[in-house]
Amino acid sequence: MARMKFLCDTERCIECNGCVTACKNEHEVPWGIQRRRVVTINDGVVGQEKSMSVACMHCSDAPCMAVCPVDVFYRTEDGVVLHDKDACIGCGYCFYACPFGAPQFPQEGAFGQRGKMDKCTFCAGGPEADGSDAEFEKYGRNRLAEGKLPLCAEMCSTKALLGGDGTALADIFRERVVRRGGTGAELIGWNTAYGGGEQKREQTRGGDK
Amino acid sequence: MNATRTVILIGAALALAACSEAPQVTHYEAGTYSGKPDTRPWESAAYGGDKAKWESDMRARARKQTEIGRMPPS
Repeated sequence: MARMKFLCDTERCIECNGCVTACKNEHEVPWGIQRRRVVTINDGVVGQEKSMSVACMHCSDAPCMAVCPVDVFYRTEDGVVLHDKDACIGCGYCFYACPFGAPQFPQEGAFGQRGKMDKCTFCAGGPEADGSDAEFEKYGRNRLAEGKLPLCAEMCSTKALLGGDGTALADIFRERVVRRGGTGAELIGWNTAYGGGEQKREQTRGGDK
Repeated sequence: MNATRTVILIGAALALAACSEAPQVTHYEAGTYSGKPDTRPWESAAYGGDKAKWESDMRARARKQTEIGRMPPS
């Protein structure tokens, strides 16, 4: 059974925001809602800038599911965390619980009150008939039912953002880090995935000269 | 007088001992999904319930995300 996951390689992300644009276009996400965004740290610092595309990470033990007072969240058999907008009361608990800031709330009504929660669906739609107008209007396109993966990952120009079955993504990432070279913990691990990879090795080589 | 004082003292001692304090640790209960049922992706018109084909297509599609797999180094 597939377990759908996202993986972003900070060694490759160039902060082009193509994933953000693709998501907004594919699902016709309304103004003010960001299902996906690119976060950059050390912006402008030469050699230390790292970018990462962030959206709902479809946690195996999702805190949004734990705190929802009306239990609108569910996890599909392939590990995608989705929710029923018809039952959502827009309380915002999930926003406070989520470590990635994934839940988004549109402003509705004359006084701009908080509307029903919107988030990344891993392009898996929601609890409506697959491919129906109701599903598209509430949750966006259902690409998984069409045999496709999330568009943000599929159109990433540097293939920094990967999406799909966690086992397949792990295989792809393993091939990458083996080709990057190195020995020991830097070959595959935290530093390679989240900083200190190629740029750090270049600094080390520069220091040796 | 002494009896009243004794009762007050015992009462005060019991109150300060917090013998009536209620447990303050919340008991969490896992909720169950209360929304509408959803269909699975392989039950769509494109796959007609063929889960094996859907999983195979997903794996193939995921492998297309690596340029190393598409263009093996010579």
